[in-house]
Amino acid sequence: ELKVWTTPDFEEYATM
Amino acid sequence: MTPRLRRGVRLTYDRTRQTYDRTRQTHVVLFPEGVLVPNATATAVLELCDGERSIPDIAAALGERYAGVREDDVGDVLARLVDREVVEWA
Repeated sequence: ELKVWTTPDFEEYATM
Repeated sequence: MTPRLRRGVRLTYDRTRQTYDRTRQTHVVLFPEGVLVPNATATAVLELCDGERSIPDIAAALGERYAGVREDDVGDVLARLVDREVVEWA
């Protein structure tokens, strides 16, 4: 029932 | 230390991407200088940044949903988000 942990990450964009 | 989203920062849902690709569960973080697109685990971390939970608390809560949660990963991504001025320590 558990999801596999993956390294938290994010994409960043300069700038519903 | 307990992390929380800074004033003016919002974690929201990108309905446009969801409309065109329903396999992607995409959230976006809106802040004055830009937009961040976090992956699923970073989104899960951000959702728990309420100014009440510590990093160990967040890791423990994530452990109920994910196998193999690493507290260091939580601390590392929060440090990066603090650098981007998206998160602050309460």
